[in-house]
Amino acid sequence: MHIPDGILPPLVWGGATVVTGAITAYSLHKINQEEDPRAAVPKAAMMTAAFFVASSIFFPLPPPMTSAHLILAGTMGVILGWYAFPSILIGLILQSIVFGHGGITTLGANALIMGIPALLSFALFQTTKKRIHQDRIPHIVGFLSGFLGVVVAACIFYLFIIGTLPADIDRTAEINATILLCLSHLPVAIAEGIFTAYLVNYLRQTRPALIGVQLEG
Amino acid sequence: MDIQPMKNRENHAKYFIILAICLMFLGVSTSSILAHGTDIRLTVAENDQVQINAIFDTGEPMSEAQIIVYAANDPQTAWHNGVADMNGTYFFPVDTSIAGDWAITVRTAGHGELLHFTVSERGVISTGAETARPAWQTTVGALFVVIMLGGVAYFYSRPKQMTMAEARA
Repeated sequence: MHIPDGILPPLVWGGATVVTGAITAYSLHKINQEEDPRAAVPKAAMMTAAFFVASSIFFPLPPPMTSAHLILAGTMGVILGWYAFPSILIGLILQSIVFGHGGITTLGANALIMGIPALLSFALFQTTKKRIHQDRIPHIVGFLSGFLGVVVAACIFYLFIIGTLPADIDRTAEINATILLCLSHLPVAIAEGIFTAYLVNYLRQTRPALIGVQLEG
Repeated sequence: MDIQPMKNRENHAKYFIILAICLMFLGVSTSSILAHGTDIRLTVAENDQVQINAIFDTGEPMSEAQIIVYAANDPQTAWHNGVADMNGTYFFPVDTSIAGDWAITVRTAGHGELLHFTVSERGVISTGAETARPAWQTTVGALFVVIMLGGVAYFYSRPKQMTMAEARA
């Protein structure tokens, strides 16, 4: 789900970089408005480490599907809120340097692929936070956040790739290959949905402050 | 509140982060980054052919990857198109009368790479000599990134220092 250098035309990766810069700036602005902006930095650092490592864990899938890797965008959104986008950007920079996953020019595009789903999951979680202690709500909200984190990332990846196909490429073959790659991430979406559901429920009961909710009762 | 242990903790965290960053970049800089999620090799085969071996960095072959070759005299127009086999292997003949820098795009599902090879005035094909980074270097780099981020978390998790006014109050 990382777009390497040389795949996107300059206009697209340039535009994606500008949008990423704007979202990062807005996220930092929102973080600065918090009572203690530094308070969540340890949490953000640990989640960035988890994101950095998780993206290198591949699941082999049976043919014709290709292997797929964890993304954790939804989980990042739920746990980190506005910190999620900058954390993902830092994680992607480190992945690009250390693993060679993704590219330097495509950092902006990759940040949008994984950062936008994180912010959407955050928004979803925020809207349902008041009812988080009701029956099944933490599991449902957690699952949807984790699941949508991967699905939305796959959709944005698909739009970037298919919307920028060069003229001298076999469009049908590339579209089919990209659809197959996106479908290969469906088991990952389910796995991350289940993981996030259990994580949200666990944190709700044990450390509710970590997800910004009040203790039950 | 005892300030000294807190300062020691801050200093330790700072050294910890600096050391991790230095080691990470040392690990990375001692080798060339070959590709972005892919490991694509060009070799010169018999009869002026170039062989492409394309795999993902997971070790899976880039089966049926699309190959587009651009000749040195017209880098904007595809000179040759093809599709790799199930093992991610492909051969194509090079017109050695066209000297200069040739380009090859290998891609499937938005993953791939742009590679180059040169044909000299004498018609000799040269693909360069890139070598893959050993897995241990990537592992060490990744380990130090995690340690570095752990250090950041440790550094910022220290108790907030009281101001003089707060201490007096």
